[in-house]
Amino acid sequence: MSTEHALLEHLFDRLADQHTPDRVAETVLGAFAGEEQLRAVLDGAPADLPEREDTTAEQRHVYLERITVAGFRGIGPAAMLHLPARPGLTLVIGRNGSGKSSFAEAVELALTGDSKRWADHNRIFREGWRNLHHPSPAAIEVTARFDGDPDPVRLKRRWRDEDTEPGQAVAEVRHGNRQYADVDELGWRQPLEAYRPLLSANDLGRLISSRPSDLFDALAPLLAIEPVTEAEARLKRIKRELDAHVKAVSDRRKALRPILGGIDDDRARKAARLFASTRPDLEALDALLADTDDADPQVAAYRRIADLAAMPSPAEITAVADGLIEAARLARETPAGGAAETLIRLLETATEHYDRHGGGACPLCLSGELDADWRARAAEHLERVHDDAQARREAAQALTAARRAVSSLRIDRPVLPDGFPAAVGEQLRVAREAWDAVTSDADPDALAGHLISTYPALSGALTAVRETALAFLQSRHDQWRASAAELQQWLAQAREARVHEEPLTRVKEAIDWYRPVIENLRAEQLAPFAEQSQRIWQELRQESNVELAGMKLDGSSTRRRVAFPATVDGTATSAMSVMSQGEMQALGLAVFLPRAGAEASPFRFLVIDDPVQSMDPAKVDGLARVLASLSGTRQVVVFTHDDRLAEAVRRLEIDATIWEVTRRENSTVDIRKNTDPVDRYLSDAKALAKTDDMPIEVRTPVVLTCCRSALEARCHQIVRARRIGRGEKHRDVDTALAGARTTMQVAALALFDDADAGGKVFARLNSAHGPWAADAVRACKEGAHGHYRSDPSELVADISRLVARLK
Amino acid sequence: MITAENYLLNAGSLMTKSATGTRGLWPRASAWLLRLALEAAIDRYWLRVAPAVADCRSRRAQLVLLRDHLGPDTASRIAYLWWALSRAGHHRGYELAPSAVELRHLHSEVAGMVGALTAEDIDVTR
Repeated sequence: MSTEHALLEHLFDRLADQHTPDRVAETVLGAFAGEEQLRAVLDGAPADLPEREDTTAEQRHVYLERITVAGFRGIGPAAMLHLPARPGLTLVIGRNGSGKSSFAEAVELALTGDSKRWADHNRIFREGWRNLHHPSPAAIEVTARFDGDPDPVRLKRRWRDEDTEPGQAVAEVRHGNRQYADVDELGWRQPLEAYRPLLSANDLGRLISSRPSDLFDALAPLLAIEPVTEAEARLKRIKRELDAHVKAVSDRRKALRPILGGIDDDRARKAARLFASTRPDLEALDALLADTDDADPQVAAYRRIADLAAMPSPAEITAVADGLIEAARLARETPAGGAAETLIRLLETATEHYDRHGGGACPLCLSGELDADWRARAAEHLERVHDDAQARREAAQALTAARRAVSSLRIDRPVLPDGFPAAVGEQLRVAREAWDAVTSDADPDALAGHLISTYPALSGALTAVRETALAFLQSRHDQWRASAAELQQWLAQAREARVHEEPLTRVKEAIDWYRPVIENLRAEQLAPFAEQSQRIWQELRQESNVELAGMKLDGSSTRRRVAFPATVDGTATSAMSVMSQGEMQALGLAVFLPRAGAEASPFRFLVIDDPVQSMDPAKVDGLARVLASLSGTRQVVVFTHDDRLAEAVRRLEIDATIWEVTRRENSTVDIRKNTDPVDRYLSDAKALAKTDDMPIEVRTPVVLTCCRSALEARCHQIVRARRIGRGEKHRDVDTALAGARTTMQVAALALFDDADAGGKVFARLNSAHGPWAADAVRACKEGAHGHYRSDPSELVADISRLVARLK
Repeated sequence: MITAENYLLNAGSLMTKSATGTRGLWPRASAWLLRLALEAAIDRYWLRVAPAVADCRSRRAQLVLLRDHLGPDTASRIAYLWWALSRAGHHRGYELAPSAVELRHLHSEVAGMVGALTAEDIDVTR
């Protein structure tokens, strides 16, 4: 099963265990599936999970078989380092400058190409990559082997003579008959980054003490929980997006509140009240914005004033006044009525009487005569009287109409609300008082004059009142209208943001769900590594007083870090602050060896460059043990600049292949198996003794030296094993051995555990092994003397016999 | 008696091309031959200048006595060279054989000192 599906199973288990509500589960799974799926889920679709991969490409295990280097770094003519392509420990020792690191660098370059990391960090490397003595041909080749595959994988990089940068190499990658453009096509890039099977103690020490986030990033891929951390990152990204919408609305709301508070308007006050809530009632706000009706009594009063009917025009007033004057004139010019009515009645009755009864004496005066002539005059008279009466009636009617016109003049009497500007109000009051001083039943001429004289003041005052009211309403409207427009915009935004609220809640729920899951996963996945680190540190710390209490990957995004809780002499502290450089390197190895040897890594090899640099001897022993245990399942290749690690490996009887690299002039690099130094000296001596290339006088003293070195090396081994075996510190043993300078002192130290017992050495050799032993040692001590002179092979044989017997 | 010059020559050729069976052995072997060259030159010098000193078995004594004859500078250079070459001739814990660069330097130093000892030698015999 692929890691991704293992993780998905894990998520399902957690969801089931926690009885996570479906709504949250959908979001959690959507986030795991990918951004598109997550957005679909937030839009209401069900989670669409990735297809189950049936063909999980299992990474095949890779071992190194051979490293060939020519014209590169410290290596001139082609040199080849053979490595058994199987688990086991290989040490490559060589002094600084011997070219051993060139092999390590060649492996790194062959596998990773000219990675930027190198280019940035190693300027010296960039400038000095081509060998000075043999600049051409320049090529590196690494032969690797897939476990159980007969066809080797060849990674070759070749430089043309004109190339100046290591990255310009022509890469050639072959596996059997197949050819690839680069290493990446083998699918190695990601695991190379994640596991980095190429370790340099210096780099590790630096990495350990670098920024906590760098260290975190270096370790995080190891946990192989990216699909889950990516799901969380996806959720966080969408959360930020949604948050931005919601926050913009909230910020705007906060900005609008003080503005609303400053507006003297009932609607603004209502809006401010709505805005006091972090989640204002949008419907109420909408209704408020739609509302034009005004319930405020003060505003209503103003509005009534503003809505007053149009006042009579001055021409109208003049017409009314003219009407009054005309009516008055008419009345004056009409003959007075007096007894006109009675006279009419009398004349009518008299003519009726005459018409009915005929003429005769006047019944009233009794002297007059009523005749036809009278009758004609009477009719005339009657008509005249009738006309007069009619004129009088008409005049009276005209006056009444004129008066009515006055009283029906439409002059409004507005009630001014409280707070109305006093000056304007007073003006109106005075004008109206003047106007009201004469009533409509007054003398028409006087009334007409009154109208003409007082109306302009009244009209002016009323106009002023109305304009005042209008101005008030206008300003109030303007203020509201500005913020109403803003509110309207905000409302639209807020409605949109409300749509995001639900997804935002879901995203937050999912993030909350993921947080503990990731923490647990990290802890779980890290546990085996942390445990290994702990073990390695236990081995490496030896005399260090820093005790490590595990390691933890903490936090996320910018606060991510690796924590090394530690105690120094029992006091809790952070490991980094108290460590020496050697301890830092040891910690680097403790942390990164488990990474390089991770079970999931396809690389079954580990190349470690110079891990012993500033380690004290006790740590070297620890390191030898760590490497030995690693090499049970991994091909461990260690490049080291001195014999300390090799010595520890031999003394601890760890199975290892040891190569010694030496560099001649002109960068010719020799590689030979370095076995036990005693055996090496002896085999050198044996070979040399038989070499005819060199005159015997020349070669004999060299053979002697070799024999002496073999003897001394054996004595060192004895002293070391004995003293370290009984618990002495490495440093003290080293001091004792360094103090024994002559062959006799060394032998005395080995035989009697006392460097000053040199005088007893020959006697002991004589008694314990025979005179031949003493003779052989004497020859070594004194140089080219004695009977070995003629046949150095004999001395080699004797010394071989002796060192085999020395215990 | 093999001469200092002969040792020097052999040491030099060992450093540049490998003799049969000496693959990887050459650094220590060359160093040792250089020491022999130096010692042979010293022996020859004392034999000519003061045979009594040549009979003395203590190399340190011979080196100390050089100061009076060759001056402190040359004498201390020879003493230092002898000490450095002797180191290479003994097994030392952890220490690897000298490098090519070191050997090249030692070789030219020894050649110079052999020359100095021989020149004095000629002077004295004259």
